[in-house]
This record gives sequence, structure tokens and C-alpha cells, in this order.
Amino acid sequence: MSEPLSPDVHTLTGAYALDALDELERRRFEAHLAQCPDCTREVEELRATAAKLAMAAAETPPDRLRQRVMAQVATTRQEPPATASPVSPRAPGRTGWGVRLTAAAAGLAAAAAVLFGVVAVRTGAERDAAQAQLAQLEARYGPVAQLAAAPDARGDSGAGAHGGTAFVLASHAQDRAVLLVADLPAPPAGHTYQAWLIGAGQPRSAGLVPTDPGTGAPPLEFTGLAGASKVGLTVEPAGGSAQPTTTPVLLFDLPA
Amino acid sequence: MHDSVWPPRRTGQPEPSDPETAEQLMAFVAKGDEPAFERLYPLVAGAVLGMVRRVVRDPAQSEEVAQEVLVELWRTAPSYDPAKGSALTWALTMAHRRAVDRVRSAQAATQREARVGAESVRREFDEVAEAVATNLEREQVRRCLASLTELQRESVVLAYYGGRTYTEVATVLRAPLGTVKTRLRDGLIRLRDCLGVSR
Repeated sequence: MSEPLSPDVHTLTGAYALDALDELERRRFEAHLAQCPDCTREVEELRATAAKLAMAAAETPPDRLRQRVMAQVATTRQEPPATASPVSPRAPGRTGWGVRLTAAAAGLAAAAAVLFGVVAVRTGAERDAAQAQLAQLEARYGPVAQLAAAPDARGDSGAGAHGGTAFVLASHAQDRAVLLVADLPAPPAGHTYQAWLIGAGQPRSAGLVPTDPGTGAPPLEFTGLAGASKVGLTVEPAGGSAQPTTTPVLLFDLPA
Repeated sequence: MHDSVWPPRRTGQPEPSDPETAEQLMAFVAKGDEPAFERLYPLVAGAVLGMVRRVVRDPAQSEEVAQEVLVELWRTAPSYDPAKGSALTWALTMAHRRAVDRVRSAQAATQREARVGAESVRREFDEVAEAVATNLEREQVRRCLASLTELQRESVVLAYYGGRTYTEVATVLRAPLGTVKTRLRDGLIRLRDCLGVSR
């Protein structure tokens, strides 16, 4: 991953050490960690700090736990040493980020197929925008391809009230989606676009929408699709809001 | 934690004169040494189970998760690298991840949604404050937690003991996402300095 990460990503060390990132963010952050020795060191220290919180909650385990563990250990083969993630003692058997990216490259064809399937019925301008987005995807965003490779991946797009388009690619089986925007007017100073998943209950934030008129905005990845039927974008104060505070400037169906 | 009775049995490794550290034991465990694992067990099991119970809450499920983690510790011991942190941190990192995975399964997530509310923050924090006041180490953690700002403390407690994502924390505390991200990091850094944690 050579994608430029915002300086903001470094503040995720705390949330990461506390396992407070969702799956997508966690993987993205781990990709960043692999290239950031300072962050890695900080994460190690913060994990040691979090471990103190665990120690403070220590209790005397019942003897049956020891018996069960030892019985299971006696019949459990050890794994060979992993050469995986520099900081994450994760369960062996999960593939590393590099492997995922390699696989993702193969999925780009699928991404293109989905994208063009969706835009075939739309205007030339939208198609051009989508094609431009695809080029950025190919260069920078393997995870999107990984998502597009999901057999149930579907896309849909919508046009903004004040111009611009947004495109969502979603896999309900993987409970993941990405949102791409193009040509949205810049939000007012001190404000940002925030995406919402809208269903029966209160809207849920899908995250702040990156906008970068210069180089094209990176996709917003999000999860937690269950129950949502629409995707909306609102203008919110910088940093985002817990609930939408303005009328959506863009609203369209989440692909079923 | 460190006053356990050591079994007299030793393996064919050079004999340490002091009680073995968890890191020394892990080196034996990495070679498939079951008796060494049995000596490691009392150093880690109490913290693993206690923390998992705080996150998972249901006692039977918590024991299940703790058992999985402890067996995973055995299974993956060959991958442990002491240069990256203490054996206890390694085990507890694994344990927290497993506990969080358990509570974030789709079904659990729906049930948790309904429980999220300002009262639950207060309750979780009060329970911690109470639970950690019983010995010196806990007293130190309690004192250091108290040195954080309220938003830092509530964010860290909800994320760690509550197993919440920072997005959930932000919702519960009605604070902007960016603020919560920052508070989690600042809070942990302050805790780290207060507790004198290196790695």
C-alpha cells in the first residue's frame, strides 16, 4: 500500500491498541503500521498499558478452567512460528495484508465489471466519472477490489442536490461497503461531508467522506450494513456528528 | 500473581535460580513443554479470565473464551517474540481481541445496541472503579485512571472493558468521532506515563 495516509491516521494507535476499530479500519491501520516503526512502537507501549487494565481486573479462576485448558493442551498441536504482522499476535491461519492485496489485484477485473454494469444505464458524464474513479482504484485501492470480488457485490449511485455523484459498492455477505464521491462541491469551511446508513432506526454514521478535489478522494470503507436501505450524505461540522444535523445533499438506495 | 507455588518438576533446560518469568516460561512452552505451560498458567489465567468477564459479562461464555485464549497461547507460543512485548501483554492482547470478537458477533451487536446509553457508561465506569480498588496494583490503576480527564477516562473504559468500537463510544458519549479517537490515544498515553509502562 503506497496510498498517502492522512496525518490523522497516527491518532488511531490508541483505538487500535484497545481493539476499538472495526474490522476494515483495523486492517487498514495494520497496513499502515507495517510501514511506520514509530506507530508500531507506540502501539506496543499502549498495548502494554491496556494489559495493565486487564491485570487490574484479575480474578481467581476456578480450578475447572485449569483442568480444561491442560486437557485441551495435551491434545493440541502447536503452530509453527508465524512470520506475520509485526505487532499483532493474531490467530495463525488468517492471511496477511500483503497476501490480501495480491488477491485483490486479481479482483480488479471484477471491480470493473461491477462498476460498468452499474454505469451502463447512466449518463456519459457519470460514466466518465466512474471510469476516472476506477483508474484511481486500480492505482491505490486494493481493498475495493477485494470487496468487488465478493459474489454478491452490488453497486449503485446517486446524484447530489448541488452537483456531484456518489457510488456505493456493497457486499451484504461480507457486511462491507465502499463509498466513492466525485465532483461534490467543497463543504463550507469548518464542515465536512458525513455518510449515513439509513434504515428503520436512527441513521448510523458510516464515517466522514474524504474529499480531495486535487487528486480525487479515497473511498470511504464502512461496515454494519444490516437493516440499512439507503445511503445519505449530509454536511456536518468538522469531526462529524453523532446524528445528522442537516438534510441530506445526496440520498440513494444501498444496493440490496 | 507472583507468589504462586512452583511445581518442583523441571524440564531439561538450564535451571533458573529465581522464579521463572513468564517470558522464560514462554521460551520453554514454544518448544512444546507442557509442564512449563502449567507453570505459566497461574501467571496469566487470572488476568485473562477477569478481563474477558468484564467484556463478555456472561460467566459461562467468559470461561469459554478464556479457555480458547489460553489454549491459543499454547498453540501460538512458537510465534511469541519477547522483543515486541511481555508475555503477559501478548496473552492479554490476544484475550481482549477474542473477547471483543465474541461480543461483536452480529447477533450480540443487535442486543448491545439496545443497551447502549448514558447510564451504561456510568455503570461500567463505576463497576471498574469499585473492582480495581482492592490491592496495590489495582490501586495504582485506579489512581492513574482518576488522573485522566472525564472524557478520556470514559472513552478508555468503554472501549477496553466495554469492548466498544470508538464509533460506539462516540455515540454513547455524544462526542464527535475525531474527539474520541484523540481521547483514546491521549488517555492511554497518560495512563502509560502514570503507570510507568515501557513495553
